[in-house]
Amino acid sequence: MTYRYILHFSTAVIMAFALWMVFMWVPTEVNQGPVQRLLYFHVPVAWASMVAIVGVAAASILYLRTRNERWDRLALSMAEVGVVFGGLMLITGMIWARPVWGVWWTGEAKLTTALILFFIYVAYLMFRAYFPAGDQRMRLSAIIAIIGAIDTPIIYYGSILWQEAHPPAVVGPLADEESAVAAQIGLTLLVSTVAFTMLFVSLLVERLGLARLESDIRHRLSNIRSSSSLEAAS
Amino acid sequence: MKGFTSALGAVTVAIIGIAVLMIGNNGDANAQSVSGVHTGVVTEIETDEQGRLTSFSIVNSSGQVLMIMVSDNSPNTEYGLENNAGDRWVADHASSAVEAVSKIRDQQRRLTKITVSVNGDGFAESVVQAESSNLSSNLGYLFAALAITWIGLVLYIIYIGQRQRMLSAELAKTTTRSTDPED
Repeated sequence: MTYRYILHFSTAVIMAFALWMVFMWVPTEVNQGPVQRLLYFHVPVAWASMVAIVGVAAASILYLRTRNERWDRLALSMAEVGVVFGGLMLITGMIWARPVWGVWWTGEAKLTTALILFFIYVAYLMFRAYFPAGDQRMRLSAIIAIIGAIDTPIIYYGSILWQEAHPPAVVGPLADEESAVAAQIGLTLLVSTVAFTMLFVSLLVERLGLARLESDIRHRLSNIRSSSSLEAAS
Repeated sequence: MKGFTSALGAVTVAIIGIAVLMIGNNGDANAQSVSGVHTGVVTEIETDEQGRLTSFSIVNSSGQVLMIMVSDNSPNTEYGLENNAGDRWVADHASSAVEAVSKIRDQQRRLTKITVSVNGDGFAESVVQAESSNLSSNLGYLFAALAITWIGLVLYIIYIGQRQRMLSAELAKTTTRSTDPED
């Protein structure tokens, strides 16, 4: 319990610091104006949502190998938090695009593959919600998650493979040497990414606790049912 | 869980609807050559084997991607572009075709709008900096995005909290039932 409080407290502190940097410390970008500050939200939530789908796939592979239910719970929790971050990625991206590109949305590859990522999460969660609980559900949803993870590298390399309106990567291994961002922008982006990653982990820990509770209740109810039917039979 | 998923389903249907409407309104998003005066953000740059600029694409305010060719003869494309510090680079394509690549790429990297005058054959006569827009006018977009982000996150945290309370109560109930099955 204590480590959870430490995690949530650290997340709150670093998020407050990141917000201070975004709104008070980093200067307004000269070409795009205030809306450029959305970069410090859009990139971190996009990062977290892509990490989530890779995590969902990794946990699913571990479930298929070990058949240990805790990997399935981890996959479910990551998918649910991931869909929240994926939705925020799409919304912040659309709102940034309107004043900069003049449109809310274009059908270009990077945007379309990001939308597909969101739909993969939704499909995964809908499948889990409506398919009867049990081993078969866990197995099939693990397969859906593994197939869905193929979308992640396509999104990441999207702005390199298809050079369209979406800006190319300005940080990380794919960044062009010429496109290095100013030090203040880069540092703010880094702190913001750390803050949103910690927020993601905090939410994941809470969601995982919820999944454990759900699983406990399911097992207890099934035990009660089986002991009642045994008593009835005897 | 089903309540959350149903809400998610409704949001997804809404997003698909909006995306279809947006794409429908954008018209042709493929590269095309159009004569006239166009303003937009650079999306793609093409060079020849010597590294000379041959063409580039811009996305205009309607979301259309326009492919624009440059030439050093009839017309000799003229450039007037500013860097981040506001220094203006003035040149023509015949003398600065290689340098034009880095200057246009700088515009692409900074997402600055440029204005291009294109003749009937699809060749640019001039490539100049677009008039800077009113920077404060997009503050509303920033506010809207932040409001949606934080409202979304807070709602999700409230959902988790409520569900935790509900499940804890249910767990306590099942514990009572399992210790006292006759209830």
